[in-house]
Amino acid sequence: MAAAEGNASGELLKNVDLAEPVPDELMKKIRHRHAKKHVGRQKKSKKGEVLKVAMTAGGTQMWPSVKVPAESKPSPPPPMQPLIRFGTLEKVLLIIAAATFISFSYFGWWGRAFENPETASLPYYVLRTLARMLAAYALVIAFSVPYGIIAGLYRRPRQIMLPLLDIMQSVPVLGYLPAAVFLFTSALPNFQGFELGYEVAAIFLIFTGMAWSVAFSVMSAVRNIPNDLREASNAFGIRGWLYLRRLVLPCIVPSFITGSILAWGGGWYFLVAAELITYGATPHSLPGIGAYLGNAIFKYNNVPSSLLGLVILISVIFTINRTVWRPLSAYAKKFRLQTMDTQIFTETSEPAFIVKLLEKAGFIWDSIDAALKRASRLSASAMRSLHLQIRYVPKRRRHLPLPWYKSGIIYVLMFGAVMLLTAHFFSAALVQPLSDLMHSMSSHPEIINLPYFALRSMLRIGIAYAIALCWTLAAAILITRSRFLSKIFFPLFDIGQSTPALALFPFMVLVVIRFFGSGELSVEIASILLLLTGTQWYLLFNIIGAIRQIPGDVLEASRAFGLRNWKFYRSVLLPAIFPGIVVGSIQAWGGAWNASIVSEYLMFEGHVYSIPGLGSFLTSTVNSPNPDPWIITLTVGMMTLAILIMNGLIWRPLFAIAEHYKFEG
Amino acid sequence: MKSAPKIPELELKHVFREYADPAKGKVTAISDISFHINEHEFVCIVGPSGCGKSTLLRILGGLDMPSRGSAYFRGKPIPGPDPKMGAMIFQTFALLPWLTVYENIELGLQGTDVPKHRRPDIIKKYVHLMDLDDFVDSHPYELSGGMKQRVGIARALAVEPHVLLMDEPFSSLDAMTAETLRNDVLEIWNDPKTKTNTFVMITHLIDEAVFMADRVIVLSKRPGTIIADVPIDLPRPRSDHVRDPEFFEMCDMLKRLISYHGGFEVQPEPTKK
Repeated sequence: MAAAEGNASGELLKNVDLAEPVPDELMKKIRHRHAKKHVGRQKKSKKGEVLKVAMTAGGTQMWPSVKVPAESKPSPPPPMQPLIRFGTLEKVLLIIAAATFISFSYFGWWGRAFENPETASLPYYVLRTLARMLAAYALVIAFSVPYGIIAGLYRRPRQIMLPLLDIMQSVPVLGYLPAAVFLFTSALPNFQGFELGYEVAAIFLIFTGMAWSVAFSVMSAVRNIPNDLREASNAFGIRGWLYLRRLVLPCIVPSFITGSILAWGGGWYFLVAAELITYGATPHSLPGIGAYLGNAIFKYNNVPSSLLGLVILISVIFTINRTVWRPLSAYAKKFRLQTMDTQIFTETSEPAFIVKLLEKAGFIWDSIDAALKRASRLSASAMRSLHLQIRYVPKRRRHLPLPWYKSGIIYVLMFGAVMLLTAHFFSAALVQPLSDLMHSMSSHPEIINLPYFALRSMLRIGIAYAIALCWTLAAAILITRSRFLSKIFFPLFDIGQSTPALALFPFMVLVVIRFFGSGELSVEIASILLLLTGTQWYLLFNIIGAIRQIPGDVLEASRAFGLRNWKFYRSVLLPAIFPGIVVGSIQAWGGAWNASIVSEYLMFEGHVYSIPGLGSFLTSTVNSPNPDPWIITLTVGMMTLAILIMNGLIWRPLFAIAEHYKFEG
Repeated sequence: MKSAPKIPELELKHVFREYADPAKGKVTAISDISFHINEHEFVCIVGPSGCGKSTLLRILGGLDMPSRGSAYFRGKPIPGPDPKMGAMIFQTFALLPWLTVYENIELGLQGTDVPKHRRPDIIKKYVHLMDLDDFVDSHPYELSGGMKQRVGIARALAVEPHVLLMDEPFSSLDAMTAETLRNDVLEIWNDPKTKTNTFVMITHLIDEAVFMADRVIVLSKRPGTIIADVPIDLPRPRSDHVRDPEFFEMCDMLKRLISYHGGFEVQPEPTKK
């Protein structure tokens, strides 16, 4: 009863802008309700107090609403904040700029950097890259959110969509490259120097680096909506658009934001490969910061200009992380269903520009909402007239997961279909007829070495993974214990995570050759270093996240019972972060396989550095004068298979075990 | 009812606790609190949510330090958490999901100097005391809420502390389970065989406090100060007296006292921005 009344007064408040003084009429209503609830108990109350009480009552909503008015600040209105505050962002950027300027002047690199003819147009390149990333992200939203929602809500589609997503994710990003280039360059015209085909291909490649993580996080968020909430909405007859808008969309906001951050990191990571399309005889570069980086290294051999490009790229990434993603993920916390009381590690942030912008842009959302509501009503009435009523059918039994052999068959079929399609795409893209598989294999006898290559790559990734796991564990524990350290290191990690791999590889090779000679060993070392850049961040962020998820009570209990040092780590901390390690490992291995393509083969200053592995085999095959589509497909398929097998045999079972390691609500 | 020894078991002298809050500057959770708790006393602390009850309990347990003033155990300042002094029971149970009941109880002993070979006997004793014999090898997710809290209590008792600190131990349990557990806790308190005989409990249920406590300390809204320290001299066992008019009078008196001081209206949580 009380909750119902509370909600009613919450509704009253919802229509009022809280920054404005509350109209007298409304005040009377609230006071009246309030007085009814507590007969005679309450003494005379001041204006603010009554409002506060009503606000709390309104705060007991059943699920987070999109606008979150109840949590916004009550009167008095906060003082106006200056537009630009000299915060960490500005400080770090200033330091970077100053360091760049000083070191460039000191080494006399400015002149050399401008020997690169493209340096002058860097600002324009940055804009073009941003536009490309935004376009790819728009595609991601259009594809991944509906995909995730459908796969999350409905069981039958999920049985197909989940394996498909799993396979698509396991295909390395650069495996999509030839297909994308061919499809879009032949289908779309160039006009007036604007290469639409290549542009769209690059956007598509960035999209493939972004889409899967968002789709996965949306899907799991939909599946994790508490059953109570689903049943409550069904009981109140909330269906269609209203169901999506009031229940599903708010529930997926936090995961969507987290997925988006991962996605942008992935997009940046492969930026060079997407903008500098090395396929066919001549590499094709698009105006963009990624291609600039690639050209500076591979075309002009101009190290200072590539350093300059790297600094600018890092500043751009850092600025975006700070002004968009950080505030958005803080904002998304309001949509979390269970707020765990972790007093020990709380983050603080002021309402940021992007959040204000979102709140200002509310009218756009409202109009979309109204339009969709109307559409939903129209379609409902249309369906009613056609006797196609959507009804809620109560669940009769719990849906068990498919037996292993059935899901195995689905996987095999999907895998075969995807690979067949890939082969066709490759053959079309390479303008090579898709020959007989047997013929291809017999004319390329080295294909027999494919499992060996896979093993070599896997070993290399394993070493990189082990190193990454060791240092990230130590770092995560240190960082979460100290607010000071986390303040210093988080920005660094943000940057490290999204620095493009291809831009780093030549530097690593050069540095390692200095110390270890130019043998295969030094390429191995450089390769492992590069693989580290593709693995460690997933582990680090997941472990940090897991440490922060430990309920405050559990930490206090272990303190109260005198568990310290090793005892605490062994009995509490390590088991508690085990789920985070598993999730991080799955992502890390996926990222490492992806990075392995660009980390085993390098042509630099006319010298080829190469070590046996799937990545180098794929790159050398694609770069050969007469690439065989089946061979490329088989290599991509081998890699995909390796990822799928590892997921199925190692990570899936560990994931199931980790379920029991999670803290309840 | 009980004779008061010279040195109180727990004592607070003019304790303040303030937090730095980025949005509001300084937030005072509790302000100028002084009281003492004698051995073999059962004290309940009641107050509106957000009034600093938990902070108070954490200071008693050594998990938190007063900003000003000091906390004493048997006349000596409390240096930090010490399971032999006071063990804690949590509203959310705070059990580790990957450990069995046995291992969860053992966890409490790992922080003490109890030698390994003696642990199984101690654990068995308290498992039996809390009626958990059939569940030693179960994991927390296989247990009901009441059973989980039994594990929580067994874990706290197993370290044989002088004081048992309970933070709303029954408020996430259903009414029937809570009633059973309340009686069990009182039984342990009265049991001369257990070493733990001073109990401090936080609750927001007046009836619960009156049912269990020798003394009820009532806190005001934030910043929390003591508005009353009421001895409850109703006869025990109180389960025989819950229908007595005296019981109701005591409850009503406390409720009137609280509503006079602004009521138990739940305050909005201070924004953690």
